[in-house]
Amino acid sequence: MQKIVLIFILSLMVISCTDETGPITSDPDDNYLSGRGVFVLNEGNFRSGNGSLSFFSYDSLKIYNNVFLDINKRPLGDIPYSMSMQGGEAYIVVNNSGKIEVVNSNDLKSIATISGIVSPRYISFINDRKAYVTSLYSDSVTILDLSANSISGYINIKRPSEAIVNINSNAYVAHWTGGNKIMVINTETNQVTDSIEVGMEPESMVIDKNEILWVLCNGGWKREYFAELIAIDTRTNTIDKRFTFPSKTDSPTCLQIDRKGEILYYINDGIRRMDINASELAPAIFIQKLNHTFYKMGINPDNDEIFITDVVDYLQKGNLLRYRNTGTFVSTMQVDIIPGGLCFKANPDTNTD
Amino acid sequence: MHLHGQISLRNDTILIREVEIKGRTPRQEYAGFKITSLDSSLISNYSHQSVADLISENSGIYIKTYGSGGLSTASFRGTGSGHTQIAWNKINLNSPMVGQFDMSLVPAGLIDDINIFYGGGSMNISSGGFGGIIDLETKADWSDKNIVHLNAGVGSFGRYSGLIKIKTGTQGFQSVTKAFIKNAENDFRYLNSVSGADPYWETRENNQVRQKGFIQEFYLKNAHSTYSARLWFQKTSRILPVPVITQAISPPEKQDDESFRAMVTYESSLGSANFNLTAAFISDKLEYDNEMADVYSRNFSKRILLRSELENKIGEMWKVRLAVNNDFNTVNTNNYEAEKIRNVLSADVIAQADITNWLTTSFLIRELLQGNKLLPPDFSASTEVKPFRQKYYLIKANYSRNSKIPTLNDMYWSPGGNPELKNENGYLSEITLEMTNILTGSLRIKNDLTFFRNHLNNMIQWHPGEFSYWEADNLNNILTTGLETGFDVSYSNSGFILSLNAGYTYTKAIYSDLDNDKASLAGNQLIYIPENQINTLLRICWHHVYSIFNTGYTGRRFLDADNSQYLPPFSVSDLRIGLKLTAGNIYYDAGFAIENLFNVDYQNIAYYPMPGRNYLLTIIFQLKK
Repeated sequence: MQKIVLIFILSLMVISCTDETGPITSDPDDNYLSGRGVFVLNEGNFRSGNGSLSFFSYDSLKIYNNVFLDINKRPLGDIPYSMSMQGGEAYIVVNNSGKIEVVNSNDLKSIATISGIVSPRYISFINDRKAYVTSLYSDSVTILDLSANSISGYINIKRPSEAIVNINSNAYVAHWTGGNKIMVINTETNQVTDSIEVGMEPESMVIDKNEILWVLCNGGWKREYFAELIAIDTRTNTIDKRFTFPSKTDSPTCLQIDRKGEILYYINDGIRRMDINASELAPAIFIQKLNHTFYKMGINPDNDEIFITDVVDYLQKGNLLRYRNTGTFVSTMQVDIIPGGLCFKANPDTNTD
Repeated sequence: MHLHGQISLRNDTILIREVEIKGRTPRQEYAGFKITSLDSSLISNYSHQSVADLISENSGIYIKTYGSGGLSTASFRGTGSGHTQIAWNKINLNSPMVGQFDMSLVPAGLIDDINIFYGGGSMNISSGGFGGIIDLETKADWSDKNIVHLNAGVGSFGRYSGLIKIKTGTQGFQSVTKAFIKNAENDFRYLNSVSGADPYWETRENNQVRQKGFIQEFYLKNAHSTYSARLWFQKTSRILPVPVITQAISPPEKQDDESFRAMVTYESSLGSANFNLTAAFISDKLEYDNEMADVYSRNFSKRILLRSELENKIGEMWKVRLAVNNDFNTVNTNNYEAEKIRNVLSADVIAQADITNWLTTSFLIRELLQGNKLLPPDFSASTEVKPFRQKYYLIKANYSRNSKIPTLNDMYWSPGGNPELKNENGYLSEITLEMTNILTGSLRIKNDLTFFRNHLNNMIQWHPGEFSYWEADNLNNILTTGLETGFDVSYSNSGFILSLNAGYTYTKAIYSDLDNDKASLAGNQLIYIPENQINTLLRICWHHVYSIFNTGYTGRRFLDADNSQYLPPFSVSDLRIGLKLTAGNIYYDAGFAIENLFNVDYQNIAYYPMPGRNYLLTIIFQLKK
């Protein structure tokens, strides 16, 4: 009987021998194709560490999933949220890992990891050497030294921050969660110089061809306020136009603009679009959501194609939906869990969020 | 590994003296259901660990744990943690807010026996345990004298713990006092291979646990009646570590749990009738702070539970049991818009017939009254067959309809709670074959094999709503199937005792009745449900020396609904050796344990590293008079 016992235990030990410890992707995609395309940041589930990066290639018209893991042999992190390109480098902001992964934009090989940033959300390049990073929880905007890929300082704006855009010598930083202000930072002095009161919870911003800053305020999650779309003249930092959404149940998100800076797009029960000179909000739905759950959207700066992420049920893999700028559906591609932010790899110096 | 309690190393709680095979005849009270026990002799080896550790290493139940001292919940037969009920002397302990129970909060040393009711067997205790019920028993021991028992332990990673038990009384009165304290830094080293380009070793931070508590019990008995009063207080403070792939939070998240439980019971036997009445009061406080996210969650729940049973034999064949349970809950929390009160009343009729000396059947029907709403009745039917008169072979089969009322968080959490939620319900079936063979007077072998199938409907799931927050809804149906098999051997001869308990569990848990938009998930295993689990426990005792070796294998666990990511399998082993001596009325036991003997690097939950090889020294001093 002792033999039986021994054999049983030994067999258990043999069964259990493994060098693997952490999560494993069972079907990784081996290929990554360079060229023009769209990166998709799959946020994954909160604290599950299953965020990933997908790439749609215009050359092959295929989607490639798990490209960061494939190339760097380690997971991207928890809630990859946004990505921007500067020169030949791509900066992937990984929100709940508190870091920015710096990679070569042509092969995605890791160049550096900038860690220790409190809940980073978006990065905005001020010049070749400096960038600002917003934060969901910190009261400061982090300044990055791009030549060293390190943190060089902080700008205390006394509130958390979300969307950021910059033009001329000003950066405009939105206080989203519970806020209603756009903070103005002089990018030469790194000092807050102004603040502009807008609607409740400014969620996303773009700048049009006339240097007008468009701010989409979603009204707050409690639905106590009406959502608003506000135009701010960046030369005077004053409000130029103010459009109020008709119902408190309107919860518009993800304001985008076309390559010429003339047409605005946003998600509100489908995709809406409006001319920057329009006198009212887009009354009609431009792209119906049908059975999709739209989450984020991007406009390709090369050809104005519209890409939308569909998170399905936030649990299973989501989809990337591609449309012509006419609103004609082109294709759907399966990406990963909670596909969110998009980053277009267009011309070498193109930079979009 | 399902049968430890039935192959018991009986002793005076601590001493391992002889092997006893407990009764093999059908368990008259729960015929046809699978019920196993972990007895005091096994539990005593885990005095310095939690009930979660004990269950994890000694049953096929999957314990999902965030690490030593971290939240640990049980998953039976592919069901969720909310579908496993934890009871204390048959009084449900699951939080009315979250519907689950953190098993890491209960030191195993406080508990005398653990009975595990699988699947439909749980309906003999209460509703909602689709997977089953784990009943933690504390009870009187009328056979012993006055006892003072001191048990101290010190281990790796700043871990120390102490347990004291004092038992005193007479033939008619017993007082049992148990108190414990446990502190752990849990600051072990681990290899971080996800946070940078190159792996590096670092120390786990923000992982401290501080725990203390006591149980006081009084028992009074006379010829026909027993009265008992029990109090249980405990407090736990924890710093909550984050997954290693996420950013450390400063200051770290904190959680304080405080529970006060009181229970009085009256039991009476007169002729063929038995009567039992229990009243209990349970107060739970949970405070969670996340300063960075500006979240300060304050949760207080109070429960008053009444449970009564009347059982009587009718003739030689029939036994009828009537049971009434009432569960009154009040919850105050800053996560609801107002205080919530809920009352659930249930009434059961159970009839059991011993049709022949080899065939027993039983039938239970339960009616639930939730507030003023009468719910569809639940039921269970079971049968137990002993096919051979001279052999301890049993065939058990049962079929049940069970239902679970939504938790108060599911209904009232702000935002997203849904007061219109329907009850979850499940149709549970299982068949078990148990075989016990006595080869010689000292060598006994027992096998069991169970097949189960559970179809669960209206499963509640939180999903994103239209307004940027998540909402609760009845979304999915789930089908779980599988088998459980156990193999136990015990042998004793001239001061040498050997027992081997081994078990294998296969569980397939999938979505069923999928809509078109979820068709791609068909056949996929639910997340964090391992398909394969193996547990073994080898105990050897030779006069004053004893040794226990246990090893457990947990198969891969998928991390997403698409089954594209998974945690790899792992096998962890522990070794305990000890020396026990008796001198007059005094008993000593010195033990040394090596946990994670082979220094396996593994994760139970993704990105929560577990400690490598570590050590625990225990000293027991017991005075009996």
